Amino acid sequence: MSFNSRTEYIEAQASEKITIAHVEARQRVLPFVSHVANTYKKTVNNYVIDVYNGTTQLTVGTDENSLNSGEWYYDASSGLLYVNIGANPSDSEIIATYCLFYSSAPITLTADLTDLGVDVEYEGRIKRSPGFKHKIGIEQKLVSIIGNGSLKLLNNDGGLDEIFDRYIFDNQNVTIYSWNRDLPISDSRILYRGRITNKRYNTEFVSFDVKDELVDLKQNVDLSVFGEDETVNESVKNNYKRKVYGRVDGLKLQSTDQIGEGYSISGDFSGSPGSKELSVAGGQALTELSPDDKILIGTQEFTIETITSNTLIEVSKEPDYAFTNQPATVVPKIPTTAKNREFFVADHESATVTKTLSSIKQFNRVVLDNVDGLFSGDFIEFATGERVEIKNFAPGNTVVLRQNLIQLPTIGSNVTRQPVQQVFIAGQKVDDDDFTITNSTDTRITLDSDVEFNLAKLEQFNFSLTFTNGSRVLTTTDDVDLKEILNPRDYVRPQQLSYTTYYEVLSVDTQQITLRTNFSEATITDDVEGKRPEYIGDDTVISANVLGKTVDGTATGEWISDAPTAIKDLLTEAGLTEINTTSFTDGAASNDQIISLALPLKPGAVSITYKSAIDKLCISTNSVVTLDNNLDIKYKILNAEMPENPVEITDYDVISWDMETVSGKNIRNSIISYRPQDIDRFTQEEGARVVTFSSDFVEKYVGTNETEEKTIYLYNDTDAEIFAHRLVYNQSLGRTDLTINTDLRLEDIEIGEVVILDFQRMFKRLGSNASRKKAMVVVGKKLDGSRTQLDLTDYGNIFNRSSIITPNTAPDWTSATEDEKLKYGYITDSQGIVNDEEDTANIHLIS
Amino acid sequence: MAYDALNVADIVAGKPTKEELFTKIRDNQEQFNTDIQLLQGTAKIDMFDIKFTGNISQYTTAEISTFVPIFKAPVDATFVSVVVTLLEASTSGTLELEIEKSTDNGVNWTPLLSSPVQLTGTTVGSVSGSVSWVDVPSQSFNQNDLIRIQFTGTQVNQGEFHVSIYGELS
Repeated sequence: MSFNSRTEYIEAQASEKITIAHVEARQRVLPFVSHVANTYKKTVNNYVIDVYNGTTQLTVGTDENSLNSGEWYYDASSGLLYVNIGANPSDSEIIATYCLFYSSAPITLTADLTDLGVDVEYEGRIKRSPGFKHKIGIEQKLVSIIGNGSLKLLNNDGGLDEIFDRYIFDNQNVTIYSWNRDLPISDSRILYRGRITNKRYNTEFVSFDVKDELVDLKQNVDLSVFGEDETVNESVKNNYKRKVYGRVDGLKLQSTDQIGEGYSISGDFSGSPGSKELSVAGGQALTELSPDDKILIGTQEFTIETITSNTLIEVSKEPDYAFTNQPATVVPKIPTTAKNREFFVADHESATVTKTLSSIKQFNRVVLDNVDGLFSGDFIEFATGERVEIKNFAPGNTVVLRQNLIQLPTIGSNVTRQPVQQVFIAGQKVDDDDFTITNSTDTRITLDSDVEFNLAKLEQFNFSLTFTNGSRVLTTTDDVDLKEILNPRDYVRPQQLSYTTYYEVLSVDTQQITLRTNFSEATITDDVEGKRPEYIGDDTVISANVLGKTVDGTATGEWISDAPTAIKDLLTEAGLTEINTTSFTDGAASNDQIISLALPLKPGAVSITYKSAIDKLCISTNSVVTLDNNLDIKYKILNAEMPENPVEITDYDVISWDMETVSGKNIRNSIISYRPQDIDRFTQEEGARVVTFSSDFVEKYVGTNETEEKTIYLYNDTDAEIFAHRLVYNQSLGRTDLTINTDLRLEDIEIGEVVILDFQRMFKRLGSNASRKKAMVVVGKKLDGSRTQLDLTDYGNIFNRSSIITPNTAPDWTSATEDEKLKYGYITDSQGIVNDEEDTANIHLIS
Repeated sequence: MAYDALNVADIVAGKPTKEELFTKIRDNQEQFNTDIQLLQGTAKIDMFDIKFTGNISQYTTAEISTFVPIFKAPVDATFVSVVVTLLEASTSGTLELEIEKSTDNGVNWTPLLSSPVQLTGTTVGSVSGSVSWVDVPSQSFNQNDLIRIQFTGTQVNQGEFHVSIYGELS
């Protein structure tokens, strides 16, 4: 018998099904003997598919006589491996990856399973092979479950004794195919691809436990740490640097020039026992130091009492021993603007959104080429240098600004939204002119030295001072203790309007203040006003609103705003290459929910696995990551969407089926935390927004008052509200699960596909007294080369209850067929009923 | 695109929830928003449009402030423009003004700007720079709120200047 296609083969019930396995294993190979020039050769026992020199992968060459340095070649006919690494490879660590060929019957096939490849012998050792098995964990809230299986090879002849222990099988690839010898080998079908996680041996069998490629997602997200090259305190060293996906508000920033145990100051210090005075050659003591600061000179620590001049200070104790022209470090009592200026934001370039100005409708209404990546409350920069806040958006890509532009920019010029906005010191918002952004390799901000001064409020004090031209000393005759009001590094000036310069306070006594610089204006006795800045210390909390990574990793690249794009980025970073990119592109096109995820989840926290990060995004967007029929990783949104022509499964398509309804997990209320923040601006603590929902339907028909709380990683209020509703909607009724067993006829159905079931003995569905047809989604699939098992769920009956937007050709209810009533949505009367038919209650709902 | 009324016959019970129905709803909503924006954009509320002239330097800032009438908001609105223009050259210095709001008929006044509006140029035609509000709510006011200008600084030999402040419907 010969088959013209796989379809014919599937329909031939008694056809021979052959299972093929490619098992990879590694071994160090040596010694080599010289072939030509720097090319060396070695006889090996197995088919070579890859060669490494230590950890460096070598490139496959075209033949054994023309290898360049760094190339290898394997001659399958002679069993010789040729390597050129520019020297004798026997002196290096050459590691070969073999491909071992097995099948369920001895046979000669091509090594790469193409019609024109190199023929190799497939040993007929396969006793049992893992089938394609993958499942979405509906019970586990849309978490993808890592599939696993076992490859069992006959070893009663001892044929595997030689290699079981000598080859390294751990974490190596295994690929399983299904084939019939009457089909071209290129028509073989991949059933399973995974990695060996365990192996077993006895005199009869050797077996390998294999997990599918999603097992690679169990590794931790690759994050770098704050190291010795950053000026951070010991408690911060080795903390992970953050990665940001989407938009994260209240992201805690990390100072990378902390004070810690002190920092160097200007000048060379000299002192000796017998005197508390220290001289500071070349010093800037009046600027850099304040009373009560601690300085460390060699091993001697001093507390500063008085700063007499830039080059002379007095400390609280005499030196224990003399020192001359020694450097010093200082730990200031009050933090200074010399430190804690640079803050780390994210360990990647962050999205700088650039638009083109299309037209100007009014001074506060501009039209851009598009408004993707812009939010109300963002500040955008025009080519004129003006920075204006977005109030809201209007149709036609119109941006309404909070205030008028002073200068009108040129049409066609760029409008830029910086990735870091709304920087807060504790709860105070920093003016955007008071920091700069560095967005190259990673993202950092640098605060201006006057940021604390600018944030401080101008205060009128209830005392007067005499300001004397040319003097640093200010005195008062008022009944006041100045030490209770002012501190070093505060600023004062006379209240009279013509005095506009602030003077920084060096020291404060009860009735006297000493300035750091001479008062340079006309002498005056006047009431005093000034500022008392809150200086940034190592423990001051700085936070910001941040746009995260881009697709290509550059600042000007496309911003990763949605879950499918972020998941694809994580998959790529995890090293997975077999990705169904179309599914991710389609997912992004139909899911514009903006995500809000920082990794690790909290500053200073441990990293999480790629799988955990991906699961969080999937749960947040009601979507899953699964495998398609090519075993490529696929993204699928699990909303109540119905294809126009779904696959219909009848009794004739199945061998057996079993249905179970799972109740008891119904909920009435949802409490959803979203847009998680490291720092809430107002509480200065970790926080998130919260939205809640309660279902009247559940109250009336189910009666439970159960509540489910969940944290999701979405940014927008509306998206979170929809999630809160959907969570309850999807769990408002019991979930019906179905398992179908059949032959290969349903092998092409993919996980995530919505199908219609039409079984003779199935219950009538909610919403119809005339039809037993029911829509369900495939959530699991097992394929072993001869049988197919499908796991399906109605996911809380959402496919039957939800109203679907119909084609414009859809007929009215009264003339619609039962199939059309199942697929389409219809407008109900005020009681939620269509055509006075009682079965139409509680369907046609907005999901 | 003009408003396109939904056909009543399309939205009775038993009619399918057609794609074209949702498209029409979306188009109408866009049209409404366009119209609202157009109205908001044209419905400006002129609050202060004052030319300060004469021998200004002879007056203190407090005196200048008292000369300016207080604005009582006829509707809920938002500031969109605060511009000070120098009409006559000054010698040096900075002209500064603050905007304050009272919600209790003038008993208490709250500053609305995080830093005063400043005019630092001294040549004719110099205009003030951007305005920084304390927070988003500070930029809006409600019907019957009182708004006043408080001068906190004038230039040396202050020349004539013009203050223009207006808002638009919230």
